[in-house]
Amino acid sequence: MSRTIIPFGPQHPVLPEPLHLKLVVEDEIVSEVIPNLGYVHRGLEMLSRVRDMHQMIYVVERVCGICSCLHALAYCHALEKLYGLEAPPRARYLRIIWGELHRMHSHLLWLGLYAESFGFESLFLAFWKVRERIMDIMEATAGNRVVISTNIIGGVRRDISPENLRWIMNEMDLVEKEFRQLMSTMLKDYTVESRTRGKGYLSKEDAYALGACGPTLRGSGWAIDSRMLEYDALKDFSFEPVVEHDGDSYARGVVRFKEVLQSIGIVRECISKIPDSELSVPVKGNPPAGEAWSNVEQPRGELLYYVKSDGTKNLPRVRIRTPTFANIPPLLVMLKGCELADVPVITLSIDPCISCTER
Amino acid sequence: MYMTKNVLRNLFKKSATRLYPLEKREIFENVRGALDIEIDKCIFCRACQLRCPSQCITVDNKAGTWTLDPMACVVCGVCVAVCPKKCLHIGKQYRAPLLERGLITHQGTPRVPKPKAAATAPVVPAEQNAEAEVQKAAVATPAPVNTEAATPEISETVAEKPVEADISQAAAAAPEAVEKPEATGTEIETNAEQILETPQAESEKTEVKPDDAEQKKEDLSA
Repeated sequence: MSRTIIPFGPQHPVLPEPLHLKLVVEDEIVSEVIPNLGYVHRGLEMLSRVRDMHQMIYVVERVCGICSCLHALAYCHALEKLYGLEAPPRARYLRIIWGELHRMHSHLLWLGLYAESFGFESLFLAFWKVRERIMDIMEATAGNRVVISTNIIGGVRRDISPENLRWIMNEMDLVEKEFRQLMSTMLKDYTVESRTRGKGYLSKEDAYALGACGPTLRGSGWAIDSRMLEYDALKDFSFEPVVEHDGDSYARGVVRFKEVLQSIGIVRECISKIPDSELSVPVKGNPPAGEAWSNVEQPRGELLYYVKSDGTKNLPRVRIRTPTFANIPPLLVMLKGCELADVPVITLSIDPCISCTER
Repeated sequence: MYMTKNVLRNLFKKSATRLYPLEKREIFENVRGALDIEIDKCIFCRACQLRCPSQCITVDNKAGTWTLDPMACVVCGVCVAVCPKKCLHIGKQYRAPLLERGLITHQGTPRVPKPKAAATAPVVPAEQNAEAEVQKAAVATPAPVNTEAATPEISETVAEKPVEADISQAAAAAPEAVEKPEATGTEIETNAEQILETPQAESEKTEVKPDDAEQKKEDLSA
C-alpha cells in the first residue's frame, strides 16, 4: 500500500496556534505521526537573566495568552518558597477566584473551538457568548480581559470590592444557567457523539506511562489534579477532581465541561468565605541563593515552575514545564490508526497550547 | 433539540454583538486603558524607567523629558505604583490604533539644585532620592550653581548649559519657559506649536524614530 505524507499545520483552519504534525497516511488511515515544534519559540525563560525577578512576573504571564494568571501564580509560588513568605488570607482567596475564572474562560474557549473542529458553528458561538460574561468580570475586576497582571510576589495587587463580589455571584448564576442549557447539546447530541465517541482512544495505562496530564489524563480514568495539593485557598475546601473512564475525545470533552461547573462552584465558595486582610506582604531585598519549584493546575494540566536564585535580583534559571508539552506524546499514540478526517478533532481534544509549549 | 430552537430564536432576536464603531460599550471602572503623565509634577527620578518590565519609558533628567513608547507599553501599572510623586496615571480609555510606530515625548522643566537656604529646608522623604540625584547631576555639570532661584533663570540655565545636550531640544524648551515661567508641562500637541517657531526641532521631537527606539532598547537590556 502506498504511503503519503500529509502536513497538518502549522497553518490550519482548526488550529489556533502553529502546531506542525507530519501525518504518514495509508489510504485514509494515519499510520505514523511526526511532530515538528519550534514555530513560536521566543526564549522567554532566558529573559530572566536580563529582567529582574519582579519584572519577570509580567514576562511569564505572556507565556500563554489563555492561562496567563496561572503562570504568574506558579511563578509567584516558587519565589515565595524561596523567600519563605506566605500570601495573606484574602490574597490567597483572590488568587483562586481569578485562577478559576481563567480556567472557566479557557475551557469555554476550548469547548467552542472543539465544536468548530467538527463543524458545529452555532454551538461554537453559543459557548463564546457565555465566555464573554467571564471576560467582562476580568475586565471589571482586574482591569484587563486576558493578561490580568494581578499576582505579585507576596500577594495580589488589586482587591475586588464587595459590590463587585456580589455582581460576580449574580454573573455566576447567569453563566451557569446559560452553560447548562448547552449541556444537552454538548453531551447528548447525535452529531457530537458520532464525531467524538471512540475517537482518539487513550488507555488508562498509556495515559500514565506517557506522562499525560490535566483533562487528557483525567479523561482516561486517573484522579490526578494539582489542585489536590491544596495550594492557596483550596485547603479550606474539599476538592474532588472530575474523572471520566472512556479515554476518548468525548470523555475529555465531558471532563472539561464538568470542570467549568466545578469552577463555578469553587468561585462561589471562595466569594462566600473570603476573609478580610491586607493584600500582600512586603518583599525585601533579593531572594536567598537556592532553588524552588511549584506546580499549579492550569486548564490544560499540571504546570511546573522551577526557579534557581544566586542571591542577585536576576534569576539565573527559570524552567517552565507546560502541560501541552506533556500531552504531545499521548497525542501521537491517539492519532495512530485514526482516519484523516478525525485528526482535527483528536488534536484539539488535548487542548494544544503551542505558545506554552515553545515559550 | 435546544440548538435548533436557539438558532431559530436568534434569527428573530436582536443581535448579541454591537455595531462597534457606531455603538460603544460603557467602559468599566478601574480598566487599564492607557498610560499618561502629569509632567508638571514629575521630578525625573527614573523610578518608572527602572521598574518597567517592557522598558518602554525613557526619562532624561538633564533635558527634562519623559518619553513613552506606546506600542511597547503593556499597561501593567507598575510605574504608577512606584511613582513617588503620583504623577503617572492610567486612563480608562484604550489607546487608539496607530498607523506607524512612534514615541510620545513630554517636555518638562528639569530640576536644578536649589540655593543653600532652600536646600536646608525639610524634604519630603519620598523626594529624597530624586533630590540626591539632582545634587549628583549638579556635581557633574558645575554650570547651574547660581544664587538666584527664580524660574526664568532656570530656563536660561537649560538653554545655556547643554553643550552635550541637544541644542534643538533646549531651543524648544526655552521660549515656552520664558513665556509662562511656572507652567512647565507641555503635551505633545503644544510641542507641535513650538515646532512651528523652531523648525529644526521638528525632526527631533515628533518624528518617528524606530532605529532610535530599538537602539535604546538594546542599551537598556545590555
